[in-house]
Amino acid sequence: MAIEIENISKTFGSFKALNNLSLIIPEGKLTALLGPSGSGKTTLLRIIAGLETPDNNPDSDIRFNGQSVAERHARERGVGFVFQHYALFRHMSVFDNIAFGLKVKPWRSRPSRSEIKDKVSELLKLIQLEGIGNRMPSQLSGGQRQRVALARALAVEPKFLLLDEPFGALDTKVRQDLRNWLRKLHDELHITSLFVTHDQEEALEVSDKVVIMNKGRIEQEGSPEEVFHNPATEFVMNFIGHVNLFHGRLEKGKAVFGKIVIDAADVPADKLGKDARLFIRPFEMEISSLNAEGSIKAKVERIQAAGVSVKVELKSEDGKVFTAELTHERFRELQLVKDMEVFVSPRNTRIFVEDYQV
Amino acid sequence: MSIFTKNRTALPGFGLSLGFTIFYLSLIVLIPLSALFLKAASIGSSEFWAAATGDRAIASYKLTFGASAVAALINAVFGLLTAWTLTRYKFPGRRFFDAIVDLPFAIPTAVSGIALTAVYSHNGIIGAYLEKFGIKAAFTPLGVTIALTFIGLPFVVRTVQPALQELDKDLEEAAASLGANRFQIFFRVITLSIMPSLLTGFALAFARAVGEYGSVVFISGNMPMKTEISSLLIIVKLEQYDYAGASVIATVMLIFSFLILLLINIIQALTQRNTGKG
Repeated sequence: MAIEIENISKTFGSFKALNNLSLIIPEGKLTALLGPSGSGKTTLLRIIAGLETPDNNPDSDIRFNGQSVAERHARERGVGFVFQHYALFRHMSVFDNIAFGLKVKPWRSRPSRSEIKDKVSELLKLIQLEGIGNRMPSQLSGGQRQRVALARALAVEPKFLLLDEPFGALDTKVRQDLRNWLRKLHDELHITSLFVTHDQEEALEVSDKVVIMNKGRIEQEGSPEEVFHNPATEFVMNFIGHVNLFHGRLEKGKAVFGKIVIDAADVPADKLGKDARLFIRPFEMEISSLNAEGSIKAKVERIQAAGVSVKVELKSEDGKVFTAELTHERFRELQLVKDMEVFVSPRNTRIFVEDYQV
Repeated sequence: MSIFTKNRTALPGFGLSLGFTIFYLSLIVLIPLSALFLKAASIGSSEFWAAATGDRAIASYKLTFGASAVAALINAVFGLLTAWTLTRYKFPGRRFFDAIVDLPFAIPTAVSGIALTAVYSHNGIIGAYLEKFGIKAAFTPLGVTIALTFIGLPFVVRTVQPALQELDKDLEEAAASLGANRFQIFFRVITLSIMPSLLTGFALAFARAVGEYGSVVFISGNMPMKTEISSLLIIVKLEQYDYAGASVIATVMLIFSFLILLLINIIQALTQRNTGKG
């Protein structure tokens, strides 16, 4: 219970960025705040850091290790913040940037010159950029700048580390390297960290816990495995990974989606006849050349074989287009070609009716 | 590769525009200035030296460059403050105040000279008040400095404003989250980040003040050795048909101004390299 957020709302004009949100960020873990743009994730992060004030509400509170910090100014919260666009002081060298937080301390708690020097060299070593202390930020690459920004935030030994889309401005390869590096760094330092991202792959790969946000609310929180395999809501299902959506209807004991019929024994009586939505992940679509019980006939429309798996676009008899993902091995076995007729059966399905999951 | 080699670029008309630029600069700037040097050189070197370093001339250089430097410095501080207020806060009448900044630009300098003299003379609104403390503004070097501050203000505000607008809010937030207080953020982050623009504004205000004539002649009282600026001394010499003497002083001012601007440009280039811009 390192960071506790209680009943926080934030309104910008008529836009509700956060809607009475409560959340606990576990201690020593790397937590990801994941959501589309406009979901309020950055606003929440900035409120935790004290860079934004939440709407006035007597029930709302933010506590760090049990202590309320709602009234504290950003500079008194002891939180390290890393910005998407690095926000390095461009008129200072890398050394001075990292030392900034130490140099602005009140003189009683300010470390001596040599202590500052030692601390900065230690941090430069940590971010694997030894010997570039004299360079100016403009002479560094994007990835290097972000690491310097991280070192600068860590220099004041913050209680928590908050990162706002830290890899958002970098290209794919650097992103990959840097997020693996961040994970390793976290395993070394165990500092309670919270990072905002809109990239679900990044969130699932790096974090210990994922908090999925939508429209100023939390949709689901849990381990990456949990949110990936057991999405609690339609939104999460849709947002995490690719998904095929089929529209249908609930009937007694079954759900019917065109040609796909799924057993649903325990449908509550009041949900009968309601519209339902069926979600199937592409990799949970089984393709076969033989017609089996419960499978539907489809035609191969497009094959995309460049990648870890083969993506096949299919069109069912009733004109519905969906994708299936299969291994290269299975793809060769089936000898799929365009316009070939195949039979598809879902291995795992999720059905949502209004807010209810069947 | 010579600049005259055919070097295909997407921008057409390099030769024509370069030719025109050189012709225009020569006609407007270089030829008149070299004529000035020729005129000054028409007298012997010992006479030149005597005219350039006469007591009255020396006193006028001191006043001109000294008051201009002080005025530019005052403008750098308060112009920065003004620009900061105008860019950072939204308040009723902001556009009005923003427009007022340009007034010293727009009104004829003789008009501002009369206005300033009226206000700062011993029976003017501010002058009478200062008198109580034994401070004389009009007809003293202080008056000259006031006039030069007045005309230099827009230069600092207008060069610093865009730089402040461009400054990322991230920087201030980063500094705050690192524990810096407002004072430290302002001096260590904001002011140093916009240093190149502030220096440009300072240089422009200084250059303008050195060349100022209209607004100063009224408020200074033009007492030789005390409140006589170099531009005025040139006029005095011209009125006495001492063309060579006038051009000698003009030449000295030209060289000084050039050297000072060169120095400021060097400092600016250094800070720009530091901030990684340009």
